Amino acid sequence: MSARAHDVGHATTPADSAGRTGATDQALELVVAGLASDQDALLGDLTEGRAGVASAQGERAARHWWRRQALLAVPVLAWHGLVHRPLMWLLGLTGFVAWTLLTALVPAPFGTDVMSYDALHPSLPSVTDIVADTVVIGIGTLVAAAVAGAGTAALARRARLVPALVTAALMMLVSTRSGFHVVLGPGRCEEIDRWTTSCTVELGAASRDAIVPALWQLPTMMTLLPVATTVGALAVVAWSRRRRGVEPAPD
Amino acid sequence: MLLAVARHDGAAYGLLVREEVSRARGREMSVGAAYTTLSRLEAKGLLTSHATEPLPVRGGRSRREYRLTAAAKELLAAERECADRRWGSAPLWGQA
Repeated sequence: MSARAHDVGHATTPADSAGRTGATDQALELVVAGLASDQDALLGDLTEGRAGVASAQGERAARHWWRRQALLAVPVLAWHGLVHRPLMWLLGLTGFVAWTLLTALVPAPFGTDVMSYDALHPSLPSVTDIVADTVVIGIGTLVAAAVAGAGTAALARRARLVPALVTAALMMLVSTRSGFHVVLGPGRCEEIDRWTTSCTVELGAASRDAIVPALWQLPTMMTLLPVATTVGALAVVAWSRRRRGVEPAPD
Repeated sequence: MLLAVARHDGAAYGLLVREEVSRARGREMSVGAAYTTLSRLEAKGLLTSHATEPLPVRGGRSRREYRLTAAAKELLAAERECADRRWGSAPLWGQA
């Protein structure tokens, strides 16, 4: 785009220049605002560039240009924030510790997470109880993730979304590690001699021991935990923008 | 990047610098990349910046305009001198 196109862009109204439509574009704008240290500079450049493209090539091309540039900016901004601002790592780690502490407070109604199993006194929980506990613990864990994400975003003065990315990444790693341990069935234990008991856990698809936590933890929590953390952080970004008087783009 | 800022010293901002650099490189630079590079150069003490008043074309947002610092001007001068020295003794191919 030439400098001339910029001049033409001045003729457009603010509503036209900011006329991105739909919740997706507003969410994308919120993400970009959350990752940028100076959101006015970056979002203003995107809006001005969009107005220039709109006057030269039409509204459709302008919308495409804005979305492409906003999407391209997301990984660049995230990398920039993580590499050049070490404090973000500290905040992210703090969020992760807070999340760990919060999840310890989530109760399991049927107690299947702390039930002790042994061969002499087998006490097998029902699948229903395991599912109920897993759902309660899962929802509690997700709420804790959103709170941790919001907390880190509130503590960061700029680029509020960046520390939440660290927290979310650590949560993902922990999800893979504890996938088969958090709410695990009893396994099958055999007494080898008076002092030794050997226990085995079946990890097959049909196993009653592992199927529920495996299905819940691995695909679901690995996806939902980062999403919940990001949503919590984005809520704070949106709140801070509203406080500053930045209204979302009109439909 | 510094050259692009130098051409519009005092009035250079992200979108303008991006266009200059894209034209010079022959391929498009993203707005996000221009923004982060300018931030980094400012953190290194090569640029200073100030925010303008909000502008209607930017949806009521301000511009961040950049200016070269003395360190950046020295760096560019040294770079130019180095390039002149390298090319000074080379024959001028294709000239009559």
